[in-house]
Amino acid sequence: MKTFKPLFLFSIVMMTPFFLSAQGAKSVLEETFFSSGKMPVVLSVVLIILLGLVIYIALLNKKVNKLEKDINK
Amino acid sequence: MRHLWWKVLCGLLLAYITVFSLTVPLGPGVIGVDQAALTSGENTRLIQTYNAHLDAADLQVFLGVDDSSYLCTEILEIVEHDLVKVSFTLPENAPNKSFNVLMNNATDGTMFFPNAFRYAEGSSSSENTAWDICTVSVENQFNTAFSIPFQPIIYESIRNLMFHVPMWFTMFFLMGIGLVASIRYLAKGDVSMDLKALASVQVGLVFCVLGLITGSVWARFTWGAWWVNDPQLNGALVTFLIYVAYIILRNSIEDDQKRARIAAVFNIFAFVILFVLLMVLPRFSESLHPGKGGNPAFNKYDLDNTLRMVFYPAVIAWILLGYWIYQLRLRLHRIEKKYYYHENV
Repeated sequence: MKTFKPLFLFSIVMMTPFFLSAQGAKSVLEETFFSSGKMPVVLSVVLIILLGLVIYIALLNKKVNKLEKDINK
Repeated sequence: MRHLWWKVLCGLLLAYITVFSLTVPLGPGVIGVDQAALTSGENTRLIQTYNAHLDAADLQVFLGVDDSSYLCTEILEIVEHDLVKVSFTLPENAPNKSFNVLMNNATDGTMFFPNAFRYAEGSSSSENTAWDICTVSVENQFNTAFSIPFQPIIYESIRNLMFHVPMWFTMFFLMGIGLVASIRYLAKGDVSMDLKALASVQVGLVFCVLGLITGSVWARFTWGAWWVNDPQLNGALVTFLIYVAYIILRNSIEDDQKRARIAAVFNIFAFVILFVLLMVLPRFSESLHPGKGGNPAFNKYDLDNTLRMVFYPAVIAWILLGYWIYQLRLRLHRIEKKYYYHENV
């Protein structure tokens, strides 16, 4: 469990170049997101935040499960 | 139950800001024109608007000549609900310049689109120009409907202000808790302070990651790239890496006391660097990001009274949620410490 945490964080760090390099001309993606006055941008931002918090809560849940198991042993 | 009130407040505020920021309509505005370049003589152009009441009887369209005089246009036709066709005549000897478009009606107030048209076939000076100036006074400048302000290029995505920006406020708040805890650890050697610093940095990193990803998405659809080489953005990324280094540093030291002490010193420096990178350096350089360089974050256009009604509650709501998650993380650390190491902290 102790080695898992830095590995997880490290994988996030390794993903950042993808944010850095991805770039494109007018595309299907752009057309979708520019529709209805860029409202889809707001929806995706809200969803990213919700999803991110849910993932973090799931990680906490895993830790609580393990502790619970050890205590009940 | 006594300490439940702020959690209830957090839930209510989150519900309020979500409903408010997703349902209040965007104010009216001009999106663009079909052709920017003007020719001498008569020009007929289409103007695209957003949420505007083009069917209003008192609709007027002007070209701004300078700050106080306007060139009149004749409204030929409302092509669609958001598209209007106008015609206007440039005078003889018109100078080479850009023209702003202004639209005005009683409900929408004055809608403004900077540098919509440009004229490049004329003379270089405006001395001999006989402008056919309208003497119309633009009386109603403000949109009377309850709405979120319209801004060029940003459009509806201004609602992200209530989601993306508070992520950074929350991160700042949590890293601040970490700073205080680290200073108190160094002062007293209290192990519970070390755990507080750790928990706050862990949860702060979650909000930092969310801020980076949401900011990246927003940048893609307003600036056109997932990432731009900007002091504010790079500063945020470096901050993230520094706090990741804090976690890795902790995990690499075996001895408990040594780990806590070195981590506390590192954390204090990390906060100083966070402050310099996010609050100080971007103000001394050009930046696309609002609030930095020449772009004030909180001027009257960015944060009007409607946005204030929801932006400040949003910051409070997200900070409370961050603090709540931080407390859960801290309690888990405490129980682990007690169970595995038999230490009461």
